[in-house]
Amino acid sequence: MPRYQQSRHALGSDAHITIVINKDVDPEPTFELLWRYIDAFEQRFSRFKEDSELTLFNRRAGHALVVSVKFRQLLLTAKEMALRTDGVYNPFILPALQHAGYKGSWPDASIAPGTLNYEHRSLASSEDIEVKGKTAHIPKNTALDFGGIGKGYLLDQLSELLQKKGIGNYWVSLGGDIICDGADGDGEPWRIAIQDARDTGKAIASVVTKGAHLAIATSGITKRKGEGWHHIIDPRTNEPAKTDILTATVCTQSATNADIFAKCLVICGSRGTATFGKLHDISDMLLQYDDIHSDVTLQMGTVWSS
Amino acid sequence: MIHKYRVETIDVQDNIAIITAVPKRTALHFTPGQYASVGFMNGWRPSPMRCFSIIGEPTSNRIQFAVRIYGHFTKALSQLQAGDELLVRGGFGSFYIDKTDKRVVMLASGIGITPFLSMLQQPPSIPITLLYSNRSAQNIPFHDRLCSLARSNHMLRIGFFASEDMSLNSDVISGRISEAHIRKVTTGEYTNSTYFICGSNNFMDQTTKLLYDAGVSSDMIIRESFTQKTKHSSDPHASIRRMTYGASLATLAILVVGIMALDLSRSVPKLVSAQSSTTAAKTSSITTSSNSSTDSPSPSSGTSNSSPSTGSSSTTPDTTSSTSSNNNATSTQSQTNYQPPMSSVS
Repeated sequence: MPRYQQSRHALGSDAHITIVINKDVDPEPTFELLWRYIDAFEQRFSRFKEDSELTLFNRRAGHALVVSVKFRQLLLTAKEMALRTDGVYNPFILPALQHAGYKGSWPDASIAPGTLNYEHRSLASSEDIEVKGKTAHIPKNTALDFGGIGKGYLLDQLSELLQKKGIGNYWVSLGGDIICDGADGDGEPWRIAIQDARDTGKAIASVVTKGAHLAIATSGITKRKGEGWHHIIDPRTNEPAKTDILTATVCTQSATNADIFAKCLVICGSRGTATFGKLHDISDMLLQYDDIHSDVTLQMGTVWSS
Repeated sequence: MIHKYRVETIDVQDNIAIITAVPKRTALHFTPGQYASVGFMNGWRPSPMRCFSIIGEPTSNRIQFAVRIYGHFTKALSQLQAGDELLVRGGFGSFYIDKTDKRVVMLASGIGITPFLSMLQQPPSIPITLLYSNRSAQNIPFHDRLCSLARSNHMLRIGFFASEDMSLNSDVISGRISEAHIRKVTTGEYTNSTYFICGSNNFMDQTTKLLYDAGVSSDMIIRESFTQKTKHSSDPHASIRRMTYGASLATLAILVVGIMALDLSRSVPKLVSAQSSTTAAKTSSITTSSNSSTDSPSPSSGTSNSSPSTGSSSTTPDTTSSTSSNNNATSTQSQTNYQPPMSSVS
């Protein structure tokens, strides 16, 4: 079966969609559906858009607001993940993120339209998120950011869409977070390279999917950073995480989990990763440290090939 | 010429009355987008007439108006019964699509959607984009009707906006029509579009300014002011009638007071008579001035006249979330330029 691919810039990074379908089926409607979904997601949840639902919600923090079903679902998922990770993931880190220097849409991180600047606001606990019926409420003087969960969550949604369309062989990448299923056009399993934090043109390992549904996410402090800051905020200190991990890669069934767990592992640092991994049943992870002498830890489940 | 119609049905939903009527003799001629002035018989007297956009098709034998109920007149209108007489004069205004229009962008807010409903009844032969702004996503007048029209016609694109609460419908964009949205409909394929605006004065002023800022020339912008006046009649004849009633009442009052004064002067002694006549004259003068002030005619004002203005170019796609799909996307099959998957720092 032929393999089709489209690539674009979306969600502030590169996006790739690859599908394998019968040659007598037109792939364009599927691509169009997925791109539309991605665009709509960005329009609704981007913190960089002045008219996004997230921006309107943040502007009126402290009020119970009627929100869309999609917004409510993501908000509840974010709350659930924050509770599960015991606050290591926290969707309220936006003020700290902006204070650190990540203000505008990457790569223009320093540019922040005045109306979207929440630097002066404070951190809250995910328990403060209230969802009642059609309304949602966050404490006054706080602001949400779905940057830590958005790509993973969206990948899960796209995967569902593809399954509903009857497409079982695909991989989708949003800024390096990947979800895949099935196999290549030749029946070969997907082989997914893991980028080397020190040499981004090279792979440090690869994952062979063996036909299984799999999500892979890598987080780290080597990208989206400035002078004296990076974008992984530790909610416990409300500052960029002080960590000895350059990048963490996690493979799980759910892209939402993979995305968040990878960030949490970076925040936990080498001392906390074992405990965090056990607590959350992470069987496949790859950690790359900033110390060249103890560079890589590879916890092998069933998917790693090298 | 006043056309007499018979009310067929009045459906009231969400404070909007849709009035359907059939002509008693001759039907009104109008172009989709035009308005008509409407009145009814209040007992044996005709009511004042107010202007409303016609939302039905010109080819239909029936005429339809959509009226937001928020004053005595509209309330009375919405309470008419089937069979009651409706007086209609029109069609008025230049708010309609011209043969020279190549592409049309409609910008509406609230009940200002009504002239566009008539325009959209028949499948458009040119591309039409409608941006429709409301306060609440849960109370968008004619939402289902518009969605149905958009589904059945690929030339029509609709973007719904809700400014005050968050959208529950995935097809509603949160917020007002912004500079970014206007930019989309003033560039690219939208160049040389004609812009029709109808809604509250604030909405029209803001939208017109955004269009000007986007470089649209004023002769490509056609506006329809949409305020349903509650205190003034749009019918000049109504004011004339009021003036006649007022003048008659004043004359009558002067006569009565004069006769009373005459009677009084005859039945009392001369001295007293002289005093009383002075008093009567004063009273008369006071009464007269008082009457003239209360009965002075109120100015009549027409609603919804449009003043065509400028406009020019235009733009892009879809303002609904459906936009861009394939923007910058390149489709490749198998071998060529295949980008293998790599998980990298996101």
